[in-house]
This record gives sequence, C-alpha cells and structure tokens, in this order.
Amino acid sequence: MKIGKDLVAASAVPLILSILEEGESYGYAIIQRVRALSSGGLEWTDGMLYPVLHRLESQGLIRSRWGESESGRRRKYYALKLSGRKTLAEQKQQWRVVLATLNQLWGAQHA
Amino acid sequence: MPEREELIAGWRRNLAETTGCTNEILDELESHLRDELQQLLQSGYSEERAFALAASRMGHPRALATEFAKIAEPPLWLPVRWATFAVIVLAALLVGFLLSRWQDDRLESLVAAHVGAITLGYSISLLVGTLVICYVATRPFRDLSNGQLRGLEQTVFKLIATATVLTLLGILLGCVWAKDHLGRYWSWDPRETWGAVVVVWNVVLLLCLRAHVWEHRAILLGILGNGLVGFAWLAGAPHLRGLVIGFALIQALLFGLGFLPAGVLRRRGA
Repeated sequence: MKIGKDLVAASAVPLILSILEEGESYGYAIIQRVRALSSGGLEWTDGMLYPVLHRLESQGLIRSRWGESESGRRRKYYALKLSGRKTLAEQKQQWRVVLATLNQLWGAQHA
Repeated sequence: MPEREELIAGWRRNLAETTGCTNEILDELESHLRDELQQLLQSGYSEERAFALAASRMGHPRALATEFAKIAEPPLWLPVRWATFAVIVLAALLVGFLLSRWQDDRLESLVAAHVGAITLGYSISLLVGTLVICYVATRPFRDLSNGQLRGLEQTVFKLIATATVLTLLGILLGCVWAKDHLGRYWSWDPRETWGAVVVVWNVVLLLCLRAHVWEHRAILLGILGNGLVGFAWLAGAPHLRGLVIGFALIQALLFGLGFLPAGVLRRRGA
C-alpha cells in the first residue's frame, strides 16, 4: 500500500528527527530506514529528502558534518541538536493526539 | 568503470544546470547516487540499468530545483537591510569625523578612539531598539515570515554583539585615559556606571537571544536597551533627567506592546 503524498510530506520531519534521535546518520541510510520500517509503504523520492534536511539544519534542529564512508568516499552526516530533541518531543505529543483520536474513531466504528 | 564515472559526471552536470545548486549540495546528492548505485549493483543489476534506476530514484532535476527553491533564504526584511546600511554609514561618518579632528590636533588619539567606540556602540544599541520597534509596530497588522524573523533575530544578535564589544572597548579606553589624566581607572562616575550597565544589559540580551527566551520575543529586550542608552548618554546632564525618564517609560510601553498577538488589529479591522 502506497501512502498519499500529503501524508508522506507531513510525516517527513518527525520521521527524520526520530531516526536521528537513534544516532548520527546520512541521507541514503535515512531513506533505507524509512523504507524498511514502512515495508516500502512510505516511498520518498530520494532527492527530496535533502531540502528537508537542509531546512531542518537552517532551523537549528540538526547539524551536519562531512565524514568518510566505509569505502573512503566523502559523505555528509546529520545529527540531532538539543533544540531538535525538543521539537521532536512536541511532535511526538501532537502525533500521539492524532493517533489516539483516529484510534478512538476507528475503534468505535469497528465495535 | 570509466563509463560509470562519465554517466555520474553527466548526471551531475545536468543537475547543476537545472537546479543551480551549490557544489556542496551536488556533492551530497552525488554521494547518495553512488550509495544507491552500489546497492543496486550488489543486487545484481547491470551497470546501465542500475544507473538509470538510481538516477530516477533521485527525482527529476526540475522537481528537485523546485524543492530546493522552497528552502532558499528569503530576502531580509526591509528595515533590517536599512539598519545594516545605517550602521555602515554611521561608522564611516564617525571615523571620518574623528580622524579629521585628530589630524587637526584638536583631539588626542586615545580620546578619539574612546569617543568613537562609545558613540558607535550606543548608536548601534539604539538602532537595534529602533529596528525592534519597527517589528512591534508591524506585528499587530501582519507577522513576519519565519525566514524574515530568523533574519531579524540574527541581525539583532550580530548588531548587539558589535555594540557590546565597541561599548566595552570605549569604557576600557576611557579607563586608561582617566588613569593618565585623573590618576584612577574608575570613579563610579554616572557616565561610567551607566556605560557598564549598557554592556551588562547587552550581554544579558545576547544570552537571552542565544537561549531563545520567549522564543523569538527575546529581541523585544532590545527596546529596553534604548532606555538604558538614554540614561548612559545623558548621565552627564542632570537637567535632562525628566526627558530621559519619559523616554525610558515610552520604551517600556513599546516593549509591552510587543506581546500583543500577531495580526490582532488586522483581525479586528476585517
């Protein structure tokens, strides 16, 4: 099942911040992680991830550094900043409210 | 292998021409393409097929250009540009004036440097206060965009940092002059004391800006700085105390107005 474009866009920031909460990562690995977690349901166009990462960086939520990959190639790594953790905590609360609301509605409909 | 490099170089060239992205962004996108390519080759795809698939997964260059255009920094808010320009003009005029006085032997170099640093430091603090008042006056009608607000905060931070350094330098030069001419570095003279208060206040403002106190509203503290600069500048003129107190009270009122909800007058007018 493919997820709609709007929902993919809305969930991009909490997903990226949550993945970076697990530790430093890079664009390709973030996309692979999202694909694996959603069993391919959340399909991002790879290049579209980078404008979001750069926006989060300019907002001071994440920071980046150039490092080396296992094969010695240059690679840009991203890590969560303290303000990013705060934003993620807020986003988690908001998404939990949305999820709880939907669960109640759909739970009631199924009963 | 050379063929793969040619394909990647061609893809990068096309991306650069279509998106106008910086080399750093292109490096990052190329790094991603290479990761994807490596993964697809390991999965058994042919070179040609793997490259076509990896490139298509990156997205169309035009679509990428649209997405990157969305994160481009918006132009600075007009009053911010004016304030920056005003600081440059003010500094040039002041330096020119003091240099001409110094060359005419009407001002000793230490005093010229002291007056220049203090005057510029205070003027920049006042300019920041005026800039924030512009923001307070605009906000009831329309809020600034996030990008404009970020630009305003960054400019306030940079200007206040400059004002702090200049004011501190001016005070230190004044201390050296006082030691030479009056025999002591510091005498708790009202001008010295209020100068020190301005420096301390500016440091507090910088810390609040860095800590995002009240989120972006920390910049409102810049208005209160106007009142302190008023006291510092006219500390040697006790007969103007009433005027300075009135000025400071107006600044406090403007500071309070900064907490009005954004767009409050627009909604009532609608």
